[in-house]
Amino acid sequence: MHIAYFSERPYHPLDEDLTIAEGIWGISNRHFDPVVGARLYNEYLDQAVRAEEAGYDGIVLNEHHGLVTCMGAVANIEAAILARITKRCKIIMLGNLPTTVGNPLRLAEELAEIDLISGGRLVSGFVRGGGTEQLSNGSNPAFNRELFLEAHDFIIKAWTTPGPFRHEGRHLHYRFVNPWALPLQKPHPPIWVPGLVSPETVRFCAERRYPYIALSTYLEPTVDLWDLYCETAAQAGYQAGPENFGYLQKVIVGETEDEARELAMLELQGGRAAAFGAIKPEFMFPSGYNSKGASSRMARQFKNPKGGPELFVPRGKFDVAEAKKTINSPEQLKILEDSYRIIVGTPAGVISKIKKILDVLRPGVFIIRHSDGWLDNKSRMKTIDLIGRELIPGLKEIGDRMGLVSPFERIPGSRPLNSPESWERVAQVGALENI
Amino acid sequence: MTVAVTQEQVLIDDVPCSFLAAGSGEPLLILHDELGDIEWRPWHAELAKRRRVLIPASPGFGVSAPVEWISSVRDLACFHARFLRELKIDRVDVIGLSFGGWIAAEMAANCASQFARMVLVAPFGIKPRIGDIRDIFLMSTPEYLQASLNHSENFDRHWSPQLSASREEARAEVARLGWSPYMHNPSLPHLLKCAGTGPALVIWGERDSIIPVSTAAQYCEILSNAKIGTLANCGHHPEIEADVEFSRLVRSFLVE
Repeated sequence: MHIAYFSERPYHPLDEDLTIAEGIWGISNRHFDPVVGARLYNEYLDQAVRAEEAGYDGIVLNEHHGLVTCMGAVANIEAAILARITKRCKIIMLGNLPTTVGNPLRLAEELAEIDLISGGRLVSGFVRGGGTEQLSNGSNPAFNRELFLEAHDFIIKAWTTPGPFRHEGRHLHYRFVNPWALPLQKPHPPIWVPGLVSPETVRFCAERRYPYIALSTYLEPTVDLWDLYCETAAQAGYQAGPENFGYLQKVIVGETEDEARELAMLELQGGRAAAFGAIKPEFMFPSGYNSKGASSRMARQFKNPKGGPELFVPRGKFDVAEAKKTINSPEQLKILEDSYRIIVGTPAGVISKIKKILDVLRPGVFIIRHSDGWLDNKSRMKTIDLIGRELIPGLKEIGDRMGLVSPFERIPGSRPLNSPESWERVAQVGALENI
Repeated sequence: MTVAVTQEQVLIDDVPCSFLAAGSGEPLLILHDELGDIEWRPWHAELAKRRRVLIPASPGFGVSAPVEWISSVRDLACFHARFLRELKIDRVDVIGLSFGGWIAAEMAANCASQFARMVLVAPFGIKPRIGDIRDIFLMSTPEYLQASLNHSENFDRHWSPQLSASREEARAEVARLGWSPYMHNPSLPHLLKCAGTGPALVIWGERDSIIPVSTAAQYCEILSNAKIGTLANCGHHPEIEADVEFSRLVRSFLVE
């Protein structure tokens, strides 16, 4: 099992009332302090290096625009720096936004340089991006999906087809494609795709043999998506395995239970634990972004099956002080813990809970999401060390015992299919009973 | 006497285009707004007493399926010109509501002679000299309807859960066509100015919070023979908020 490190690199501190009242996207950048920003960028890079030293296999970077919880607006810059200052870890992009960069050829060039500088450690990943990414970049949400598909195909072609060649598509028009620097990995860097629930994305991955990385989605619908992946894989002529799947999980550890709980409460500040829920629906799904069907599936996905709050609700006017009391309460933490949105405890305590997730989903990639709370650099470093020392070895052992092979141990899509009619499930639906 | 309203269909380049038709007499084309409500309203009935009223559902709105090759409002305008040709209508009066007003203006810029008289109701399409067109995509659909009306009580009368799905789809199509440049076409004023358009009435709600009211004067500068009709206490949709006065103003202009 490949164990990767992820932090969303939140900007902090920030007036908590502001994030509760306005959501985590759309707050005016007059509240950004460049002195704080300069310190945080460097701390987050240092923490990624520390994660490599602590024993993680990979460092995951993501990209959001105008989001106060994620400073990685141009994640390729961080990736390029890490390519040089780390030695062993995979650098995993989950993911780049070919729909908003405006020039996918430039993206192909940037990623090729990162792969070259890192000595072939890049894992490329592409995402459609949420509505806020469209709004932040002036991209037309109505063209998001078709542009995503065209840009994806174009980038692969730019990496693999000797130039110069010509591309005159629906959205992209290049008459002289000939990037000089090409990726070190052949035919191109591996591609993983993160997702929330969209079956279209799952099919997209399965058809192309790309590992699909579920981003802390509720387990029940995730099992359905795993099955859909396996079924699509069978239609494409292969048996999917753990190497085709990854799962991202937020884990907050402390040396003691009390310390872990104290750190976990910081997660709740400003409503950030609800993350996307703290974005107004009209920003998350602007006109044209989703098909009608996709919107209703999305609404179902974000309904907590264990009776917690629905994340996408029209906000309207509400009392910030009252909302703060609810958001910052131990009860709220309990709801998040009961639904596995967050796992809290000592390393020995959290491992049994993580094992339950692994029993259900059997992923070959497990990404530990570190705190989005306002932790200082020292606390973050301490957590990284603690996880490296006391959690990763145990998880590795469990992964080996369960046969959770990673995409680096078995090429995704290389496992033969017994017969086109019969495919094996990867997810173990029966294990959901233990959750 | 009530006028029978029929739902009809015409094929345009193998694409079925649905339209409501009612009344008899000289044809009158009504181009719907960005909410895509293709429903029969009392002011339509008033007009249908003397005219054959035609209300096409643009592709991607209402019951008309989206058409991929339509990628701009000008394309959509050409589609509607084709709609008139298919119905063998050479010359027609037109009422364009908001987004539909933009379509009508594009049609006139392409071929002014197809319209005898034009009524443009708070049309998008040109960039205001003063102020901006409000970003309607930073709002949910209910928020947009609320913002486009001057009186909040009108919201309750016009917010319909039954229409919410079709309004979402309509806004998605408007986003597809009008996202960038945002809800205007830089070439439109230049082409419209020399198009030789006939008499035009530009109606604006004096409390429009979506498009600055001063844009009415810009349209009148561009159109060769236009006048402004301002309706008091109305927002962006005077045909909703002051339908009786609106209807009177339009009928009086059309028989001038």
